[in-house]
Amino acid sequence: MIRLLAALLAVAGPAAAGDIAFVTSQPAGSVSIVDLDTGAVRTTTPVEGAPAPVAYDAAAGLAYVISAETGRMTVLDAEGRVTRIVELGEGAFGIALRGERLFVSDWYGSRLRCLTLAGDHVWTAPTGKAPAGVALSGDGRIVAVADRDDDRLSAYDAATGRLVWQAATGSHPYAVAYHDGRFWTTDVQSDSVTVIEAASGRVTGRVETGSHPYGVAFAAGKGFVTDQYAATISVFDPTTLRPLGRIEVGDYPEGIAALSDGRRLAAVSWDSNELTLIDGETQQVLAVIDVPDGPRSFGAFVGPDPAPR
Amino acid sequence: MRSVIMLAALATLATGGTALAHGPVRLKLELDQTLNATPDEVWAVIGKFDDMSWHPAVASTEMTADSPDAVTPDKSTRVLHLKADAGDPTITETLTKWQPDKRCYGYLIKEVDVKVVPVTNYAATLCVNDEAGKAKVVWKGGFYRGFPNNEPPADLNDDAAIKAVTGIYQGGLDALAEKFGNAD
Repeated sequence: MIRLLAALLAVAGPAAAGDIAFVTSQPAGSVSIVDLDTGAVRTTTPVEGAPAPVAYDAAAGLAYVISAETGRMTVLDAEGRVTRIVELGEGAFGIALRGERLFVSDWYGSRLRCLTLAGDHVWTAPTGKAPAGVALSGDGRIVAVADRDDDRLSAYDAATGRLVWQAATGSHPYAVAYHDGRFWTTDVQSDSVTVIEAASGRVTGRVETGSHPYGVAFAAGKGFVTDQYAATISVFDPTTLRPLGRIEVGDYPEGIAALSDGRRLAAVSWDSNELTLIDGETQQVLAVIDVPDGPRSFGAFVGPDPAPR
Repeated sequence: MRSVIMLAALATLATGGTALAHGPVRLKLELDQTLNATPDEVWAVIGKFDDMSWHPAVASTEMTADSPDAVTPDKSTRVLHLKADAGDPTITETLTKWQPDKRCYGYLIKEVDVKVVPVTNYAATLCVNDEAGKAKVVWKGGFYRGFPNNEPPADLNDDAAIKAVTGIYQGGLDALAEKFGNAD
C-alpha cells in the first residue's frame, strides 16, 4: 500500500533526479528497490543472513549489501539482480564506497578493511571495539569509522590505512556521516550527535537529539537525525547546532539519506515497516511507503536511478 | 525493598548505564489478543505504569524514589519484583512514551540480569487498540540477545531471547483473556 500526498508531486518538479532507495529488511531477509518518485516498490530480492548495511554506487548503478549474520556481501543492480556475492566473513558490518574502493568495518575483528569493488584486499587497519558506521570525507582522502564500544571516531588515510586522528564522541557512536568539512556521529546512548572537524579531528560541538539516535543526513541546509526510541526525526541547524524541530515517523526510524535533489530525504522505520519521504525544506512528510519486515538501510542507500523509466 | 533499588542503581553506575555490547542483529516480537471488553475497560486495568499486578509473573510493582510520578517519559522508572521460589528477581524499566489518548505506553529495560530475561537493549510498547468496539491488546518489543558477541551459549542466543520475551507477553495476554474473555 502506498500513501502519497499531493505535496509529493508539487516538490518533485522538473529538477527531480529520479532517485531509488535500496531498503535492507533484516528479519524479512530481503532487499527492496523503491522508486522514490512514484512511491512504488520496484522489486524485492531475497538476501539471506539479516541484511542491514548498504552502500549505493550511483555511478555504476550497483548497491553493496552486507548480511550482518554471515558477513556475506551481495551486490545488486537497480533491477534487483544479484551481480556478485563475496564472503567477507562473520563480523563484516558498516560499509562505504568511493571510486574503486570499498571500506568495511569488522565488528568482531576490531578492524577496518579497504577492498577493491571485487572484494579483494587492499589494506587493513586496527580499530577500537565494535566498529560500526563508516564514512569518507568530501575529497575522499579520509575514511572515518565509529568505534562504538570505545566511544570514539577513528580516521585513516583512505589510500594507505594510516591512522590520522582519533576523536572522543558521546556514548556508543553508531553511524557517521560527512557534511561541510565535518564528520557527524550519532551517539546512541547519550542522545547526541558529535561534530568533528575532518581535517584535524577536533571536536567542535554537540547536537542534542531524541532518544537513541541511529542515522544522520543533510538536506536543504539542515541536519536530520533518526531517533529510534522517540519515533521522531530531529532537525537541527548545522551551523549553530540548534534544534529546528521534530518530525513524527513510524516506530524505530533507522537509516536516513538525502535524495540527489538536495532537498528531500528518505528514512526507514524498522518497527513499522515503512519508508518515509520527507521534504527537508518544509519538514513535512511527503509519503509513507510500506516495505518488507524490519527495514534498516544502514548507510548510503539512496541515489539516482541509472536507467530512469 | 529499598536495598533492591540501591543495588540496581549501583549496578547501573558500574556498567555506565545500559551500555552492554550486542551483536549486529536486533530481534523483533509482536503479539496481540482481542478481548471481550471495550478498549477503555482494558486500558483501565493495564494502562498504569506503576501497576503491573495484572501480569501473573509480577509479584509487585515499585516506583523508584527519583520518579516524579508514573507518567513522565525518561524519568518515571519502575522496579518489577517477579514471583520466584528463591531470591528477588527484578526488572527495572523506564517509561519512554506516554500516550493515554492512544491508550499506549512505551518503555525500555534499564536493568535486568540476563539470567532473569536473556536480552539486552530492550524497548517495547503496550497498546490497546479499538477493534470494532473490542479491545485489541498489542504488545511489541525490539531487543538483542543476552550474549553480546558471536558464538553465544545456548541460553543467551537469539532463540533464548525470543522464547523468554514470548513467554512474558503470552503470559500477560493469556491472563487478560481469562479475565475479560477471548474474542479472537
